[in-house]
Amino acid sequence: MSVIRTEKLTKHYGRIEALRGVSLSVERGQIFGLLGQNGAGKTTLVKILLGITGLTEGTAQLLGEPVGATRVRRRVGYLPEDHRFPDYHTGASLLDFYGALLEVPRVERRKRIPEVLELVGLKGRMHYKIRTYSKGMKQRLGIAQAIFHNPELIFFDEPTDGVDPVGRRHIRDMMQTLKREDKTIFINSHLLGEVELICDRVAILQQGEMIREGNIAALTRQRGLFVIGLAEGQAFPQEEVARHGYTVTRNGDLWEVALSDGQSIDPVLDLLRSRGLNLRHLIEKRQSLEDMFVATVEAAEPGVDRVSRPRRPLTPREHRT
Amino acid sequence: MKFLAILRDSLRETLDVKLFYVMVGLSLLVVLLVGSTTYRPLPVQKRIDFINNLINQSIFFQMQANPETQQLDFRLTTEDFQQLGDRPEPWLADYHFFYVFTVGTRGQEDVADDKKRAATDSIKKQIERMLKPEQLEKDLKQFFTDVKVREAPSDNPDVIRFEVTTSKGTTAKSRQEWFHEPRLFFGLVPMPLPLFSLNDIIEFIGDWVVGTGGAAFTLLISIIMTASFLPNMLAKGSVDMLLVKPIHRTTLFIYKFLGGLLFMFLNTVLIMVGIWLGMGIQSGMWINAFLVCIFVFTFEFTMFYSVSALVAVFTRSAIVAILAAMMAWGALILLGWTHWGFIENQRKTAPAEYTSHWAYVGYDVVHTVMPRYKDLDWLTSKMIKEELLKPAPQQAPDPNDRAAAEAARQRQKRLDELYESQLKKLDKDYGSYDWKSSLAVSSLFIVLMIGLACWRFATRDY
Repeated sequence: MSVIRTEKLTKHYGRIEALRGVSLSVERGQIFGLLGQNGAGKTTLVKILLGITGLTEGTAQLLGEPVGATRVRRRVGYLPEDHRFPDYHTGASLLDFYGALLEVPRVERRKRIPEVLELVGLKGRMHYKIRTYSKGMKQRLGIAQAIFHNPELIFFDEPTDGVDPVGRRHIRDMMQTLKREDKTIFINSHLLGEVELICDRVAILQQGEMIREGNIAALTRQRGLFVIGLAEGQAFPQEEVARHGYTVTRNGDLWEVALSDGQSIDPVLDLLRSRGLNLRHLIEKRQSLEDMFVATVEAAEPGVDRVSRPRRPLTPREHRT
Repeated sequence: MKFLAILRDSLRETLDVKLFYVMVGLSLLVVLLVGSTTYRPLPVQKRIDFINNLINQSIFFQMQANPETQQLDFRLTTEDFQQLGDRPEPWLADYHFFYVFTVGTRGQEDVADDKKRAATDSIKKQIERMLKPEQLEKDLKQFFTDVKVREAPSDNPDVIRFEVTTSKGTTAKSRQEWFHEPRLFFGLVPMPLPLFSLNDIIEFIGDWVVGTGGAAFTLLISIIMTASFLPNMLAKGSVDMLLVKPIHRTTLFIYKFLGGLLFMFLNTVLIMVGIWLGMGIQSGMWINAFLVCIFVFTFEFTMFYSVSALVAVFTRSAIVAILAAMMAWGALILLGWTHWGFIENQRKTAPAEYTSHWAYVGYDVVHTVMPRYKDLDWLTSKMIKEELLKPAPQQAPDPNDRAAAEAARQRQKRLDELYESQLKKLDKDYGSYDWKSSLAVSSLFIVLMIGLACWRFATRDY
């Protein structure tokens, strides 16, 4: 059963279309990354899923319940981007307050508060006012409140924002631990390197539309580009390979062989074997998630690097014509 | 559990605001001031001397204004003032003293004009003829229950002396009717105001210090303090954290609203119970209307807090919420006063063409449908005054003394009649405003404001 499922989800803010027919499915135990430029609609999608914002059209379900249902919120954790905690609280009192709203029994809260704050490295400052916390500490407190009530599904919007490299690794490790506990994690992030390291699947939103979705390995694979290396002292038959219709480029001691549509690498390997050449390196080249993201976004709308432009919904007459 | 959690959160937020401590400090100061004010019964001699001084000054200025009386020296004084017996209550004791009238002339020999001198002498003689024991006895009976006056010998021809003996105490028969001198800080700082009875002093403190000044100040500070509660909750980045919790938005809003209200209620309880206790202990007058004020003031605050909350939901700005609540406050005060002046006060006396004019009817309708802040204010003052007007229980007369019993019955009858007439005067002074309609219309206003705010909060995208 999908933990998150949306069907043709649409959101209009007046004349602005923030989301256009987004369909998405996230399975239990996955770490799912939602990527997109500023204003692509990522936060709007998360807010709709959490019932903070209403949807205009389509359907959305969370843990098998329609979004916005009060009872499902007990099973969900959320760290918003640019969160602002009431600074008259201490770390401990904030967790106690949110825990009470989440109906966590008092005894359980008392037990969980030091545990969770220790997990995020804030136990030593748990009785200090939040106004004395650094940005990174507030971010870690945000993560603590999101996981405090042991939710099944956790939304993190820019979870490592403002956190130092050691802290980031700590957060990544924590997410892996949560995943092992069969929690589902939904991440909104601009830090594609981080997303690549921890996410199982990603989706790319562009101007409110889902333009790509899949698992990381599949999305970053570069079809038709192989890197070949031969034993020391052996010469690569560049011209002969090129005569077979392949594009060959030298890259140090290695050779990159690009395949045209419908071509296979096998004829090249056969040729090398027939020449008695010893293959030492053969790999289908992958791209980074960032390369894939930029390429995908550019392909969807070349040269665009701006916020979504407003689009007026079609009138019934325009629909007919 | 959620309600308590939100209340605790509101309390934490309140305690974080410095203004809260200022408010509690000021509340405690008011309680201390009122609670430490002692009311010392004025000795009868001091009261009579005070009245004599007033008369002397008044007569002096009158005589100076007239050329024929400029040389006259007229003064009232008392001598050898003695209390008969040892009753601790000055108003119940009997006294013996001499009332001394000095009717002399100053610098008469320097007056060259014989006619003028003769006129002065003539006036002096007229005054001396008027000073008769019967007349003084009649005047003093306004102050003493029974009094005997007889002329006493005098060595000085310009001095007329009367021997006065009183019996059955003064005309005041209870402590609250008697004149008192209030003293601040447990008697340390005297306030020389021998003009007022204890009843008058308590009414002044209740009506003006507590009911008007104190209530307005508390309302003002409370509006400022609580105005930031909802905008803070609704701030971007903060509201998201609450909206994802398993609590309905309307419930969340109402709980937060009640948190602000509870703060005002507790502060009002602190100040009003403090004043009620302090004043009761010091004066012996337990004005229960002060306790009713707790609910009235909180209700009045709810009116303005609901405006503040509605504006906060739309703007998420504490400053705008404060301004809106202040404007509503000012508008309702203006509406109340103008309605009193132009409508209510004219209702029974103005001609029909005035009361049937469209502007009169229209303004009356506007007042009818708007919240009644000022009406509630006046009704509260009226309630305090009504309680103060109630005659104090009289001392039971000796059952064997039939004359005393009859006098007491007559006195009780007079007091009851006085009370009835004072109530009628109050009714006239405070117009036709009533609790039921004032509370009902104001409650509807509050429900409307909160309803709109809840609707907006529940349907808005954050």
